[in-house]
Order: sequence, then structure tokens, then C-alpha cells
Amino acid sequence: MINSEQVPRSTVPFGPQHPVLPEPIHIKLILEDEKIVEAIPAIGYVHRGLEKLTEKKDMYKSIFILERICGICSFMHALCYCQGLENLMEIDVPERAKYLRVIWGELHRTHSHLLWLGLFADAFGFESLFYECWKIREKILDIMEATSGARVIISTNTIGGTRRDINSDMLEHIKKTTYEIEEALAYIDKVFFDDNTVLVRTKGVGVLSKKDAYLLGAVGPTGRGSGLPQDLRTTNYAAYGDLDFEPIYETDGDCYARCKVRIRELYQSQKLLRQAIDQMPEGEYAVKVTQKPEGEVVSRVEQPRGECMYYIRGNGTDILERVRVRTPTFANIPALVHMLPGHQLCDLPVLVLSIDPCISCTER
Amino acid sequence: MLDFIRPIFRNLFKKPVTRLYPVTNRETFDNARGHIEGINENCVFCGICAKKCPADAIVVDRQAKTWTIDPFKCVICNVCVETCPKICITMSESHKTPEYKKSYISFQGNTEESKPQGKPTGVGEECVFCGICAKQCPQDAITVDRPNKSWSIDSEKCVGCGICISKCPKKTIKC
Repeated sequence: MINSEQVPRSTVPFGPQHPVLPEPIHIKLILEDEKIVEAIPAIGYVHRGLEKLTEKKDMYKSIFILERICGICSFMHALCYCQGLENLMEIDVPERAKYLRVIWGELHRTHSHLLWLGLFADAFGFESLFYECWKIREKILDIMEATSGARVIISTNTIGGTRRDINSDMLEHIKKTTYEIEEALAYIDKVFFDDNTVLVRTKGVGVLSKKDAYLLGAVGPTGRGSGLPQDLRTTNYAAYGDLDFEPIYETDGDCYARCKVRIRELYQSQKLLRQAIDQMPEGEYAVKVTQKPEGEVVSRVEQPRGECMYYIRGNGTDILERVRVRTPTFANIPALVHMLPGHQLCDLPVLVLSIDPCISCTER
Repeated sequence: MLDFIRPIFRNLFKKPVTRLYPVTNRETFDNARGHIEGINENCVFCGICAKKCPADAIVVDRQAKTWTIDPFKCVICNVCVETCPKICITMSESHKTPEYKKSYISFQGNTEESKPQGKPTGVGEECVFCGICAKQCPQDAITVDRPNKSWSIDSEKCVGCGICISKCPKKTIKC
């Protein structure tokens, strides 16, 4: 019997197929009228067994498999894996390769954040803003194709350096493009920061306090939006040690703060790109690898979505014994589930997208 | 407020950002990885490309002298093009168009030509028996016995890829 004062509860499945989601995740929502009271996530719709596949192929072929964990941050996955193996086999990577890795890494961060900004605009129904963001992103994709040969899965990392070099003309072009991107962004960031339609959908929505973010292990812009100044680039992998930058963070902890962190990071990436191009040394970009991996190593890099961790164990042969990947979205799902209760059902798309979910990363 | 008005008006007087595909095609970039076009007659069927292919898309049959690639398996990583000792695999810069049926790109070598050209026959006096040629040989056809100072090649196994000749630090392998 229903108590007359008690609001009846209903269960609504969100996903795995939903217009706002590019990838399948299922969240079971318990609603009281339109208010979410409980959210139960379920993953496992795009599991491809890529970790297992790396145990069957040699370590050089595994780079191409691991790159395909995620289309958007493919370079970072390869970077994390290659850096881990280089540390394990004690290989000195040439300085130029380290700078090339920074350049491609920051290009990837820029295109990932622009893609996210577009999807975020789409989540609250601002279609033309979505197109504007993706219009800027096209410039980055063109650079990636010109430098590496492919638009998204660029496959330029290898153990011991990079597979391709960037010539000086192209570097100048990249530098010019960074200014163009900053100019184009100046029009868009005003909309995200000040426009009334955006503010009512994002400000005060999905507040995650600093303490909760820390306890739930939020990483990347989700954590930084809540005031955790945690950026793995400060651990000085690749050539980040030679570059001058500070982790960007906001203290509000709502969707607006997470969006602000990403837009500010876009500007930061352009500055890092220019710094890396100016300081780039001449010389070799790859060394020959003769060692075999033996032992275990943990490697971490800062992906556009947050911290990515690789655990690699080798047994002295070309084929690795185990590769384990912990991706940023996996770490951010508990934070998302914590944020959802108390919000209206219509806020759900904005909230889900504010952590920048990458489900294919999560499930591998 | 109304910050988006300016970009909207700018867009009204600009030409479209998108192209009218397939009427206007996108210009390809130099060295872009479009798709594997095929292989030319310099191929010695050494099988290095098949060994290195991360997607196992290439199949090389040494006896029948056939080289086949499954374009639907290929991930266009460019590894085969980079590792081919005879530089005979060609990569096209334009993307592949969709197909209605699954098809393979294959190459049939001349089976009448019994032995490929460029097989090493022996080494000169400069040989220091370092064993680099034996290590690099994709078919493990070369045996180097350092203590006894002997160098031998199994001509049945050898495919004449020429890797040993190019890798020899003393440039002493004869063919």
C-alpha cells in the first residue's frame, strides 16, 4: 500500500542506447517523480578483450592494439605503454622524440577537449555551438594527418622514440595554427562562460566537493573542477619537465567549473605547444631497441580525461605476460554516481557528459 | 548575454566549411596513410611484412609465390611499407572507398623462375664472424660459428631478401 505522503518511486533505464550517449553505458535510475534518488551503473556493453589480445602478440604489435582502446586519446595510450616499457628496459629516449611526444600529446588534448565541448553543447541542446567547436577541431585533425598520416589513430609512438619526425615548416605551421585556435576560442569561451542559456544548465549542477572528489578518486578535469590540483604532467614525463606550466583547477565543483577547467586547459595546451616547438632540439627521434622486458612496471600519463595507468609485466621475451589498463573514466564513474542523486532527470545528460565519459576506454 | 550573435553573423557571410563530397574531394596530404595499393614484382616473398603485420592481414606463401592482403583486416599502420627490405609495397594517400563485396589484393610471382636473384653465396676474407647477418635473417638461413670461424647459408631457406648484405658491417657478403 502506498502511503499518501510518500511519492511513488519509478525505475527508468538510461542507456545503453540513448541520444546523448555516443557510447553504451547503462544507468538504472530510481526516480521520485522527476527527481533522481538512486543511480546504479552497469558497464560491459563494449568489452573487446584487448588486454588479453596483448598477451598473444609481441610488444611492438601491442602498441597498435592498445592505441585502439580509445580513438580520442589513442596517442596517450601508446605513450603510456611505450614509456612504461622504456623505463622497464632502461632505454634512453632521444630528446627530440620527447618533444615530439609532447607536441602530439597536446594536439590530442586540444582535439579531445574541443570534441567534448561540442558534445557538451549538444547535451544541453545548443547545436550551433556544437558545430562551432568541431569546426575548430578540424584544424587539429588536419595537422595530425599532415604530420603522421592519419587523422585520429596516428600510430606515431614506438618503443624507443617515435616513428615519424616533424619538419621545421610543419612546426611553424603548427605554431601559426595555435594562434588561430586561440583567436577562434575567444568567441566560443564567452558563450560557455557568460551565456544565460548555458549558465542555467551548468551552474550549480552536479556539485562535487573537494573532499568527495578526493575520497571517490576523481581524476583529471573532474577532480580539478572540484579543486584538486592534480595533473600528472607535473611528474615530468616526456619533455614536460622542461616546460613551464601550472595545473589548472577551479573550486566550485559543478558542471560549469569542469567546463571552465577544460576551456582553460585548451589555452594552456596552445602555450605548451608553442613552448615545445621553440625549445625543440635537433637530432635523432628513435633509438634501436635490443633489450627484452623483464620484471614489472607501472606507467602513468595525464590523458585529456585524467590519469591513465598501465601495469606491464614482462618475462624476458617479446611477448608480455600481462598488461593492465586503468583508464580515467573508470575512476570517474563513482564520482558520477555520487553526483546524480537529488538532480532532475533532465539534468542527467549534462551531468553524464560533464565527466567526459569514454566507455570504450573503460571496458577495453 | 547574446554572445553567440557575432559568430552567427560572421558565418552568414563566410563560405561553407564543409565540402560537397563526392563532387569536391578533400586534398590528400603527403605521406598520408590512405590504403595499401599492392605490391610490385620486386617482391621476393620473404614474409617479413606478414610477420610484422599487427592485424595478421598479410599472408605470404613462399612455395606458391603468392602475396595476399585482406584490406578489411588491415589497420593501415604502414609497418609493412616501412619494413619491406625491397621497398615494394605501395601505400596510396587517398582513402579507400566502401565495397559491396569482400575482396583481397593479391600478387602472384613468377613460379618458373626457380631461384630469386640476389642470393648470397659466401663471404669474403674481411668477415669477422660477428653474426649480425644470422641475427637479422628473417628465415634463419645463415649459420655463423664464431669459435670455428665458419659461415654457411642454407640456399633452400634463403629468400634473397638482401637484408644480410645491407646489414653486414664489413660489406663482405657476396652474391
